[in-house]
Amino acid sequence: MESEERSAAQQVGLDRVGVRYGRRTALREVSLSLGRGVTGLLGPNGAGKTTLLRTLATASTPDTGTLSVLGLDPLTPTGRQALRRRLGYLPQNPGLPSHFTAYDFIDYVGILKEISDRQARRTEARRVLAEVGLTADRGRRIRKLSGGMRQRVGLAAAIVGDPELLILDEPTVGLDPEQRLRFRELIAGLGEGRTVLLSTHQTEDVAALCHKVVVLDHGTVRFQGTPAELALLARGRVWSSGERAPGALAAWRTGVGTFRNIGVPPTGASLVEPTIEDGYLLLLDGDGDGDRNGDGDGDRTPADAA
Amino acid sequence: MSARAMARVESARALRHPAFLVAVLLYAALWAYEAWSEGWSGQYPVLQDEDRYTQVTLLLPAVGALIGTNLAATRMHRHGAQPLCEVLALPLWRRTLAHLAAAVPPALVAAVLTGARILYAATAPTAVGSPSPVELVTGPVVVLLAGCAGVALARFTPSATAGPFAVLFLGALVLSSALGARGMKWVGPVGVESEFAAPLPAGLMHRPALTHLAYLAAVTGVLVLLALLRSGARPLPARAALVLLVATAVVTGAVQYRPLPDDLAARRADAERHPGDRQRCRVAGQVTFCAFPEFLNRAEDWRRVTDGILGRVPAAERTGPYAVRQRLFLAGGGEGVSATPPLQAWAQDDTRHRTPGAVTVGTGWGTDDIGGGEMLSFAVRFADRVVSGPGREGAPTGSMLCRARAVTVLWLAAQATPETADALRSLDRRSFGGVTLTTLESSQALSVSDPEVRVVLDLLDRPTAEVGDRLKSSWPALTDDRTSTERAARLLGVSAPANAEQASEGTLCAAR
Repeated sequence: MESEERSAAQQVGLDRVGVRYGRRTALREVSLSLGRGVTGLLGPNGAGKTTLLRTLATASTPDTGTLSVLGLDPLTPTGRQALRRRLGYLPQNPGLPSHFTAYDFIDYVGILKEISDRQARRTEARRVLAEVGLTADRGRRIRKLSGGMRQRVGLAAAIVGDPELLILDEPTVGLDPEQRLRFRELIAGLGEGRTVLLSTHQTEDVAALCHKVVVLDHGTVRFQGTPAELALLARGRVWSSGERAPGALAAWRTGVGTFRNIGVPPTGASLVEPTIEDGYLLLLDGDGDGDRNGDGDGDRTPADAA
Repeated sequence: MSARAMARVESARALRHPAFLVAVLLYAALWAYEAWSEGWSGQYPVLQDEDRYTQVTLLLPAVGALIGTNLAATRMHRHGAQPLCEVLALPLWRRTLAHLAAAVPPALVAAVLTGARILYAATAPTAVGSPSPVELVTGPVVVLLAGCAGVALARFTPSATAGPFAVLFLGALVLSSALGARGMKWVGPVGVESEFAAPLPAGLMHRPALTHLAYLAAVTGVLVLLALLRSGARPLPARAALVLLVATAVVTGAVQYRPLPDDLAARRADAERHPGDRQRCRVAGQVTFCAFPEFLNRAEDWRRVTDGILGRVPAAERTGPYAVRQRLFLAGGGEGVSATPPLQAWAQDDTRHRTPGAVTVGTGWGTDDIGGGEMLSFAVRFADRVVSGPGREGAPTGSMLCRARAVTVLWLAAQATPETADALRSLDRRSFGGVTLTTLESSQALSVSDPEVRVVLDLLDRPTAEVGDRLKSSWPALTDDRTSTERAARLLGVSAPANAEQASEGTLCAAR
C-alpha cells in the first residue's frame, strides 16, 4: 500500500542514468525522484541540465540507467510514444516558424500532438493562447512578435493538450522583469495538479515557484530538496560586515553599503538569514569540487544540510 | 487521423506557397503570350502532339512543387523549431506521409491546367487529331514526382539549398533529353521530341508514353518509400516494396528505349509509299483533298489557299480537276523508310486512287518561323500545278522557278491568304538571294531567285484585284517561262530590278 502511494506520488524517476557525448560525460549516474508540483533545476552552464531535460522529454536516449516517467518507460518505442502524448516540452530558445501566425502555429502543434478533430484543436489553441495572454495577438505573424511574446508562444505550444508533465528549459531567459513575473504567474498556475520541471539560472524564480529544487553540476546531482533546505545549507555561513571579509568565498557590497559575505564567518560576525542563492553558491563554490560530505557522490540531501 | 489533418494543412500551404504560385503564374503568362502572339487563327494544333507539349510547360509548376514541399518538410528545422517539434506525439513517418500527400494538390492543379490547355487547343476551329490520355496524365505525374522528390530530399538533408540544386538536376535531365544526348531521352521527366519533326498520324507514332508513365510512377514510388523509410516507417514491408519499385523503375526505364517495332516500321513504310490506301478524300469545288482521316479537317485550311489561288486564275485556264494529297516522308525524322521521296510510288498511288498529279501537302501546317514554310510551300506547289495546266501530271519537276512564270506562281501563292503573304515576307527577311520553299522536310524544294521575289513583294503592296486583272489579261505571257522577269513586271504594273535577267542565267529552271 505504501509502495503504491509512493509510486503514485513519483511522477518522474531516474535511476543511475548516464549520458555521454563522445568522450564527454553529460550525465553521470543521475538518480532522481520527482512528484507533482514545480521542481526547479539549477546548475551552472554545462552542468547537464538541458541533457537531463532532453532525456526526460524523449529527445535523447540515455546510455545507462533506467527511467520511469508518468509510469512509462521512455526507452521502449511504445513507452516513448505514449509518453509523448502526455508531456509538454519547451526547449531552451526554441525557434519558431516566423511566417506562421501565433494561432496557426499552435494549431499546427495541436495536429502534431494528435488532436485530429479540427473543432477541438481550434478550441484548444484559443485556450492555450488565452492562458499565456496572447489572445489579442494570435493573428499576428510570429516574426512581428516581441521576444517575450515569442517565448509565450513557445510555452503555449508546450501546454497544448494539457500535458501531465511539463518540461521547461530556461523559459525566462531574455525576458524583462515584468515578463518574468508574468511567466512566474503562468508557471505557478500550470504547476497545480501536474508535474513541472523548470530549468533556470534564476534562483529567484526557484524561490518564488518551486516546491522542490535539484542542483546539477558536472553531470551529477549535488542537491535535491526544498528551496528552504537549499537556503539552509548556508545557515551560519553568511554574514554582514562593513568591509569585504578576506576569507570569504564570495562577497559583494549590498545596496545599503555593507558587504554580504559567504564562507566561514569570523568569530563574532553578524550572521544574516541565508537565501537559496547563498546555499547554491556555497554548494557549488564552497569546496572546489562541491563534495562537502566527502562521500564522493556530491549529492547533498536536506539531512546533510541540517 | 492526425496525419490526415496535417496533410490538409500542408496541402493548403503547398498551394499557397510563393514558389508554386509564381510557377503557376509564369505558366499562365507563357500560355497567354503564346496565345496572344499566335492568335486563334494562327494556330493549327495537331492534338496528338499538343498532348505532349503540355508536359514541358508543366515543368514550371513541378519546380514550384519541388521547392514548396522541400521547404515545408524542412520548415521546423530551418526555423530552429525542431527541438520543440521532435518530441510531439505524431510520429515522423506519419508527418512525412502528410507532406507527401500535400504533393497531390499541386499535381491536381497541374491536371486542371493540362485539361484547360488541351481543351483550348481542341476547341480551336483548326484543330485536328486526338490527344493521348497517357501523355496528358504524364505532366501532372511529373508535378507529383517533383513534390515527392522535395519531401524525400528534405528527409536526407534539411538544407534549404537542396531544393534549388534538385531543380538544376531536373533541368539538366530535361536539357539532355532535348539536346538528344545519347540514352538520356527518357531518363528525365519529359521525353522531348525534335521540334522540327512533322506531325504523324497517331497510329504511326513511336513514343513509349505508357512505359514512361509507369517509369515515372515507379520513380515516384521509390521517392515516397525512401522518404518514409528515412522517417522511421516500418522497415520490412517498406523495404520489400522499395526493392520492387526500384526494379520496376529500372525495367520500365530500359523498356522505354525499345527500338521501332517491326510491325510499326512496316505500317510506316506502307503509309509513306501508299498513303492513298489509308486516306479519306473530300471534294470541294474543283479540288479533291485526301488526307489521313484524323487530318481530314485540315482540308478546310488547304481549301482557303486553293480557293485564293484559283480565284485569280482566268476561268478558262482552271483546267481541273485538281487533287491535293497529304504525304509523309520520314527520312528526315531518323526513323524513316526511304532516303529519298518515293516519287514513283506516289505517282502510282495517285493513279490507283484516281488523283493523278496530286499536289503534295505535309502533315504540318502553319506560317510560324519553325514550321512555317508549310502553308506557303503548299500554295506555291499548288499554284505551280495550276499554272502548268493539263497534261503535266506526273511530269518530273525541277527545283527552280524562273522569270515570268516564277513571278506568277509566287504571286498567286502569296496573295492566296493574308498568312501566305506574311509568310513570304517573313521568309524573305530570313533568306539571302531568293527564297526556297520546302515540302516534307526539304524532300521537295522549289526556289525562286531574288529579282522575282522583289517583284512579287512589290506586287503584294499593290491592290490585289488590280494585279489580278492584269494577270488575267496577260495570262499566256505571264505563265510562259521564256517571258523575262522585266516584262512580267511591266505587264503587272511594277518595275523589275536592274539585274533581273542576269539572275536567271545559268540556272536550271523547272522543266515545263
